[in-house]
Amino acid sequence: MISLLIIIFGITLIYLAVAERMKTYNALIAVQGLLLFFITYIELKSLDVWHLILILLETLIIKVIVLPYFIYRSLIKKSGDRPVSLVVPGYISLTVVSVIIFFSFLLSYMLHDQQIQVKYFTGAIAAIFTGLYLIIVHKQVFTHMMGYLIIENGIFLLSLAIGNEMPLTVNLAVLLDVFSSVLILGIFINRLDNFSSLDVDQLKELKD
Amino acid sequence: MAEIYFIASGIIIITLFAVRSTTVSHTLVFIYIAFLGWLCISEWQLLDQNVSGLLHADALGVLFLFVTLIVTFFSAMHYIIYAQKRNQGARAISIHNGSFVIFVTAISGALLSTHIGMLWAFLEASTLSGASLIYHDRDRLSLEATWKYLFVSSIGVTLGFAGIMFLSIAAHNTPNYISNLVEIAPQMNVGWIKTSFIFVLTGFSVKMGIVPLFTIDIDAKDSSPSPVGAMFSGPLMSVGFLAIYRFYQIYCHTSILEWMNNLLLFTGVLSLFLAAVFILKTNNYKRMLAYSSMEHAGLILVAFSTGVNGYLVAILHLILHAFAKAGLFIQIGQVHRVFSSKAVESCGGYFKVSPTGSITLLAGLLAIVAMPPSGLFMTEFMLFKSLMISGKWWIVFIVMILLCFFVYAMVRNFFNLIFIDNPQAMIRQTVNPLESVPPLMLIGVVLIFGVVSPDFLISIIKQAIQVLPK
Repeated sequence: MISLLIIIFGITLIYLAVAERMKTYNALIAVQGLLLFFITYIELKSLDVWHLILILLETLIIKVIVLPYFIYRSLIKKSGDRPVSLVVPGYISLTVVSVIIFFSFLLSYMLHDQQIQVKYFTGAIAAIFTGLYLIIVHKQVFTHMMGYLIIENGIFLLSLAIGNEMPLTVNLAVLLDVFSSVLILGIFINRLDNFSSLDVDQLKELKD
Repeated sequence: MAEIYFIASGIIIITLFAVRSTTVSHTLVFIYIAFLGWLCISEWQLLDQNVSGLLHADALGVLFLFVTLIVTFFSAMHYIIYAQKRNQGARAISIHNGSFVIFVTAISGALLSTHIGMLWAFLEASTLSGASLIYHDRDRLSLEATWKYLFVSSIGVTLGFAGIMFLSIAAHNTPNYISNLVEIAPQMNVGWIKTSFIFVLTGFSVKMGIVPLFTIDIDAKDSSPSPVGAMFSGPLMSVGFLAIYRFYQIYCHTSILEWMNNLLLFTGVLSLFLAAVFILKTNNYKRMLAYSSMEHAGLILVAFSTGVNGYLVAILHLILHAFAKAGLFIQIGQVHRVFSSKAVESCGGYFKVSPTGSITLLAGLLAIVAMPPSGLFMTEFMLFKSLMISGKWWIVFIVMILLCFFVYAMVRNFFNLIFIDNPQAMIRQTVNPLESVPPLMLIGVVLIFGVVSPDFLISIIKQAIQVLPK
């Protein structure tokens, strides 16, 4: 079951490489959140109640409901679901992301570390590098934020791969930080939109 | 103790965002600083005791807490003048003061953290509150700087989190308390901890203002109010260093010590080189100071990389630089107000406008370019000595040449500002000579340190570095 969920997670990464609409990005990030919710639920059933509630809150409530709704209301609805300009042709991104996923597989199987769970580790590394790739090739702040969210999802999977427990206070602090960082990023994207455009090329006034 | 401090901070933060009276807002900030002072003293007294829990400072934490306390006090004091002279509204002041207290609380929390995850959470909180401080002026440039800072810093701190995850793999199921990790460090897998250190150094470089993620740090110091620039160059740089130091503290008991030192040396020299290239090019006083901070951050890493001879030098250099740079940022804020510009070509003849301000700038120049009697001269001298002891003559040569560029750029620009009359320089405001006294006091500490070095400071640094290899 978990393998299937991880494969679907990989497919969302490939779809993200060629997505052209803001809505598609948002929906895919929400789907990733949902997948993470199912994975965590299956994986962590044995945990104590508070940890479980906290992690489910992070995945289901925040990643699937609150953030996508917030992004939709504050960014997409206002700007009318603009198409995202692709600097690199879709087929190249498709190839790059496929290569990233392939090498993540290869890396995870080569590590032979008993501490890590190969499935999660593959998904995590693939998500982190896909997020970084999307940030590098896109020139709009909206897609940059999406890239950041993909990296966040990758880090979440990485923590599952390792299975190292952190104290509840630390988990709570991390959750609060991640949540507020996305909200604040969203608020500033909104401000940028009011000022000029959301194209990174316009943000070049600060220089020597 | 720490719990009471955080509860008090929380109450003050909520009140600060709610009040619309400027006087109450500023008073609350100083009440908060009194709590911070109390925290510093109580943590100092607890230093030799074995306290468990998530929040308890070691010797280095206490030292940086005091640095944070002093710079915060002067920064808050100067912000009152900044807000008054720019006719800031009550709402803008409340938002700034609220974010300022969150920022300082996040920094002090990071300094107190005994758990790696907690340290990360406070670092991220400092990014979020720092963004609000940069956006103070609400104009296009501050928005650009804020966005870049927020975004790149979030990515950086997330990469740092990946570093923590790799550490967790190497540590197996050991709880991520620093003391536990130090104990099991020798059994850790070398590949994982090397990967972890690369991620941590890359991610937290954003906080320390070094290669590779230094650019947003420069933009942030340029676009934010000068008291905020002082905080970014002092306490935030210390916390960035501490974040990297914590991992060094764990991994130094493994076989990768030499490899880490080489990596720090490379990063330090590269930071120095890039800062030298940009400082020659810039025509903006605040950016010049920001590049100078990057230079000193590079020097700190170079000193630290020399191992046992350089640990004390690096920490001392960091502390003295924090004071000198905070003083200079505050004074440059006054220059900015007088000429309504930070550009070199729009300022000049400052000595006629403010002799006390000019003396402060000259004293600051002396301190920051490490001329005797500056304390930084002493630390740089010790740095070269430790490099020579470790046989790295070619590094001595490179660093000395790069330092010449900094001295040239800083002296040229400061002399232009103070002594050369510039017909394009328009004097918009007169200044009160007493305003320059607080920055002069900060710079004075650095200058006096070159003559008299207090024993208690040296002994507390020695206590801090006891955990590192002898």
